[in-house]
Amino acid sequence: MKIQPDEISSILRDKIKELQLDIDITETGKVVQVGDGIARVYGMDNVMAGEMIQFPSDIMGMALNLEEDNVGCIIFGEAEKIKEGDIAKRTKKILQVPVGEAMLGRVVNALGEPLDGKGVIKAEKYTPVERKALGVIERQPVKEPLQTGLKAIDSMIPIGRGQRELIIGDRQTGKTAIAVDTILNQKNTDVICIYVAIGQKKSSVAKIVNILEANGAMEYSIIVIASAAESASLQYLSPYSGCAMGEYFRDKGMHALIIYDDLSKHAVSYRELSLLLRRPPGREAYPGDVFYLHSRLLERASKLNDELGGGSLTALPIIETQADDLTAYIPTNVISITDGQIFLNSRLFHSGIRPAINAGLSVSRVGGSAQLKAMKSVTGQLRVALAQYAELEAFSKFGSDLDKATQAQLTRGKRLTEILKQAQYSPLSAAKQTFIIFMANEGYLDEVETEDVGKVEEELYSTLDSEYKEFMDNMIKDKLNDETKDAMRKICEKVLKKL
Amino acid sequence: MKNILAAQRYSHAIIYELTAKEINSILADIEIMSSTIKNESEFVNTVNSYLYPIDKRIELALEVSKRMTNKKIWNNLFNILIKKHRFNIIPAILIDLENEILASKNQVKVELSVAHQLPDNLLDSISIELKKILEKDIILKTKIDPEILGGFVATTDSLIIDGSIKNHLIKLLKMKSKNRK
Repeated sequence: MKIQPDEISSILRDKIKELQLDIDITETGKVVQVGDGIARVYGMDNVMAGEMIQFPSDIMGMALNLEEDNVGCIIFGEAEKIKEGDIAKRTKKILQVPVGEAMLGRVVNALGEPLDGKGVIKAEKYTPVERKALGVIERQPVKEPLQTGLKAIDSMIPIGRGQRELIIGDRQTGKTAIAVDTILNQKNTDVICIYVAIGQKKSSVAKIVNILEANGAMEYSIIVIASAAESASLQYLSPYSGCAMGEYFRDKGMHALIIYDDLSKHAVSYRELSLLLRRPPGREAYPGDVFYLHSRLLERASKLNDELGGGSLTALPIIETQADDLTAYIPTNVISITDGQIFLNSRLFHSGIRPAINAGLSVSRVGGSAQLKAMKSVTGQLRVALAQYAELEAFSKFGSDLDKATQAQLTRGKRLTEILKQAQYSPLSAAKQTFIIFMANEGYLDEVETEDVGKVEEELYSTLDSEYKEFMDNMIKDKLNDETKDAMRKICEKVLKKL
Repeated sequence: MKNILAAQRYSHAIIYELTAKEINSILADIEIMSSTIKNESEFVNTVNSYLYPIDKRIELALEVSKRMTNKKIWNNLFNILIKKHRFNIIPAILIDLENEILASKNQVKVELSVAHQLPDNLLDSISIELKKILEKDIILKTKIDPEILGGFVATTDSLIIDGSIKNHLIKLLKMKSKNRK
């Protein structure tokens, strides 16, 4: 059938007649000042706090300060393109980021835009970056363990799914290494990992991405980057964006882990924004709401109740201290918000104890109830033994004669310290961790020279891998009974005989 | 920033001093002043410039105020602004003053952009619709802007009412690219 040109034009004419055009009513304001990633907009009387503001060239911003005669906005993008006198439009929307399975394996910025050159992200939905944390009714206590694969943490400072455990320490003490190891250990588990890099060097983040890719960890991970080169506004926003991405999985009944690396730089970026917005400075020039900045973020980590699917979002915030000072403003704030902290000591790090965890100052307030029963049955006295060793070691330096019991305690302490050392990027299964700690507790390593403990450990793992795979799988399932313990003792003897 | 706030203060002060009679005539004065600024692009810069003696600058400004009804008010304002070296904010004062006076009369100035000249009956129906939306009497100023392709765009000092074909095409394009994603 052929259609005549006249017919086409009459069809078009009819369609145009039928066309219903909607009218967009947009409230506007005028940019009166712009600079340092901040814009002040005159007008927009009804703007909401946290609302997205559209500037010319499709640059987005967020209204943060609602003042008597102007609105202070932070700009996400090239602030240089915005000029004084430009029209700013209200969007009546709170800032949203893409979430969903499509984000897995991707490296994105604080707005959820891809940075990895792998094309556009086909996100299922968009959710607001700022969301109120769930209430008491929607939650349940932490009950499942989140294995980090690090002996020192899983044995002494266990982390549960839905917990918030702070990793704190000076620069170059292995904070990020713990976070990366934890991500690597989630391979073949049902935990989705989100790593938020705030104010870091791009080269450092690239290194982490390479490690994750090399270990096949990217397929269950999302990397959110707001590097040191990005504006303070994007650095401020990035942890909230990452959290929104994690919440999607939690709300679906899945388990997610989010690492904020680090919140010290996040606080610094917020301080920068606040000072530029002329908010009154408080202690260390941080604004008055710097506690709320972190508490509202970390409160979003939670374990949902079974009616809501039982999903969880575990948060591992990182804080960098200056000269091991835990009493500074931001560290004390975040310590009080979280459910425990892993304190990394630079002295321990330089003396070769890695991970450099200070067992005395590290604590997990809720993780104990989530610890595996088998692990719990061997680690009960570990912290006490290590604390006693630390005390006795100080005494032994005076050179006085020591009684046999003290010497035995020192020997045991040394071996325990030795077995808790672990190389980077080599997370261990919970069963192996339990086994080696059992071996040290039972005194099998007391006769082994300290420098040979590593060899014994290696031999033990290879024996377990080759001969006792099934035994190990069953062993970790429940509390260690006498029968299991006997079998473990026999394996220990066998390994020592081999050496 | 400071200019807008300062302009607000000056316009509030003028309104405070105005009597009901003067309010009606001041709008005509604003129109004269605005057209002077628009036509004589160097007027504001010259009056605000330190290059010329202050008495000459005041004289020049008073020449404009001679054409206005409320001479006393304008003379006073020009004197203050020139002495304070703030004559550059006069355009902002005029805009704010006009908006304030119109708001007090429940009126609003609307700039209506259309793609081509519209018949009067269509313009009337648009202005009726705009009156309903803005809930105010409107003072319509029409502008031809072929870039909007069709429909209209009405702009006030705090709102953009966009019913243009250009806007619809942009929205369609955005929707299409979103679906493609």
